[in-house]
Amino acid sequence: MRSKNSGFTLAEVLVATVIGIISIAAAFASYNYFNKSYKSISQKAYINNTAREALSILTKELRNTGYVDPNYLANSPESNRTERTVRMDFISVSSKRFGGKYGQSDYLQLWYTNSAKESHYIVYMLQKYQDSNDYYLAKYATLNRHASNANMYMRNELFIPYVEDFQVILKDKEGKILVPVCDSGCGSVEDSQGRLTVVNTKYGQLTKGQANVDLVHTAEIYLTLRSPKEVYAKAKPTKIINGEAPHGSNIDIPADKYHRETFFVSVHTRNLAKHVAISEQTGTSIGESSSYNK
Amino acid sequence: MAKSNKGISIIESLVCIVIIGIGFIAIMQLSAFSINSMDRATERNKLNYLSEMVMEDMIGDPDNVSKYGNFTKTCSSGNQSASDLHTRMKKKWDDMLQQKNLMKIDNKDRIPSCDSYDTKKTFVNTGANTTGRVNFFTGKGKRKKYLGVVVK
Repeated sequence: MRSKNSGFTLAEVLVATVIGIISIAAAFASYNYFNKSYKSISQKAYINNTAREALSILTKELRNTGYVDPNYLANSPESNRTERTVRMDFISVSSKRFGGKYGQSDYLQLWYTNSAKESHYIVYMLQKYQDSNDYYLAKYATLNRHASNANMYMRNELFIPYVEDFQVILKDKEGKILVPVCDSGCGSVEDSQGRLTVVNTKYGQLTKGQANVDLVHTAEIYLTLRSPKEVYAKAKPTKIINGEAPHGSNIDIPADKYHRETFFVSVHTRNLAKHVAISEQTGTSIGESSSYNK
Repeated sequence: MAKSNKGISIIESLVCIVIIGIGFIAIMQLSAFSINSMDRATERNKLNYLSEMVMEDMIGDPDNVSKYGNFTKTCSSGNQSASDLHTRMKKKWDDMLQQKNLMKIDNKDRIPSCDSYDTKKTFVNTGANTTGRVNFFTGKGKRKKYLGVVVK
């Protein structure tokens, strides 16, 4: 009877305490590990998903860029649309304009039609968050920009969050970098490359920045994103080596704990280097019969 | 009656802890696996864009597309001289597939893992229609990405 009420011995209590402490320490370490893993996974997934969705749209728009519906010039609700004025809108890159946190990012303008009465003017540029020093890629889109009732249907829409760098490099048919390709609101890089030099073209006199639009064959995008929250336990310095001269120079980011990824896409701008208008009636190219496509 | 109030023995509790420990280890491995999966997903996402890049370059030069076949990329970087367009394009593919000169962390290039089975090849078939195709193998040759288009 006595032994039944004796409780635990000191040794038992000590062993139980040690086992308990080990168990709690293991549980605590596991919790920390899972927490860090979850943070890392969710941040990487966020970057990956954001880039995938946004770049799909961006590449699609670059493929459409410069497409002019065969009936657009005759039926457009926009005023003063001629082959000459239309082609000036096709594509424009302003290097280092709205350059973002590190002053290297580009400003991209695109234009295309998706019917005889609808043209889309799209602008991508980096914008600063109001409550921090970080930047996002903003999208502005206007329907029938030159019409009296032009409709900006996207104004400063947050297209891609936490963008560190956005480089747009246009190349000609020989794979060489094409600068300047810019009509208005150009950057210092375009100015230094003789943007305003007047050249004779089949459309009459144009600036070099406008005339080069016809030579754009490929658009390459370098997009560097940063995780919204810190991921790593140890701070590391990062160097972004996006772009090619004269577009930008390397970006040295002081050591921090954020995760970064650079995504690269290359798109053949099939409607710029060689204009091909497809007849909606026959589904075949009307390039030979259309003066626009000669 | 006395036996039922005895509680659990030290052996029983140790066995219990070992079983829980094995469970913890399994979950930790699962966690590590999911981190790796996320990295792989990002690499595959990038590889999708790179396969599109190859196709776009073929579409952009339809008259010379036959020269864009027979590209083979292994883990080492080729040193092709850039004399004409298709060679320059192949050089670009080589660089981009290796993610050369994109980002340095702690002064080291972030380069995707590569194994001798991880090959990237292009094929061009000419005939009634000219078609271009890419076969990109990663993850020790286990993950396969195929993409093909009719160029002209």
